[in-house]
Amino acid sequence: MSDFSDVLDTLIPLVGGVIVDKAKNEITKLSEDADDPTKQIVFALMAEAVGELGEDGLDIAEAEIKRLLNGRTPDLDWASPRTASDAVALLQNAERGRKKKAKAAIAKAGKVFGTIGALFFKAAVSGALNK
Amino acid sequence: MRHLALACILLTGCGTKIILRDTNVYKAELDQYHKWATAQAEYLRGFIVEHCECESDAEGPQFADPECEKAADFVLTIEARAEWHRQMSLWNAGLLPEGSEPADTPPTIEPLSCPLPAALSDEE
Repeated sequence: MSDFSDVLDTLIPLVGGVIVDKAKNEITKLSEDADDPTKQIVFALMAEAVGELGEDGLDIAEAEIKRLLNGRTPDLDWASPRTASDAVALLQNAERGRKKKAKAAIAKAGKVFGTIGALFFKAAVSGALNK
Repeated sequence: MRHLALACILLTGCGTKIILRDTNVYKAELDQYHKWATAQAEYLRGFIVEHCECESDAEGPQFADPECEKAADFVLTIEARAEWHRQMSLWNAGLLPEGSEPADTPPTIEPLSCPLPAALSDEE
């Protein structure tokens, strides 16, 4: 908190106290949101995109973050290696999560099959899917 | 036939593409990329230590040359994360035995500083 606050205070003579206070409030709101690892990556990507690509960076970051959050391959050439690594880790962990869910579903179906046998299994699964 | 058509629509119409690969070729590729990355990071670390100067009054991580700073960030990231990403690639492909699942959280990357923090392999 004090890190960015000190830096912003140095801008008061240039942009005025009102703007600096507004910036502080907005940054504080953002940092409160940044406890979540996914949000941290999103913020880091947006900050780096603006740093590397200027104002256009925000639109580019938004498009690539949407791809990332939809599980598609983002183009993160402009991101720092550590942020790009975090983004890839997010994708890899999401893939692991999907596989775990699939494995759990298979195990559950196998248990149902073992309990009620082939005769009723298809009907039970179809019934569950139609709920 | 109707089921086959339905399966084709489901597989092609939406969702992520699933790629089937030869296990041995996939592992060989991963090993090669991993080796390239880690060997380059090792050489790059040597060049940084040898040629990059630190400035105590510089802004940020104290590297006098911004190119040195960028190179150092790659070195620290690769040293900390390359193995975890490789293990995750293998795990997600079902190529690691049960019980060797990588940690949920990737290893922490050292903060960028000049001189470079010691390599992880030196500390072990």
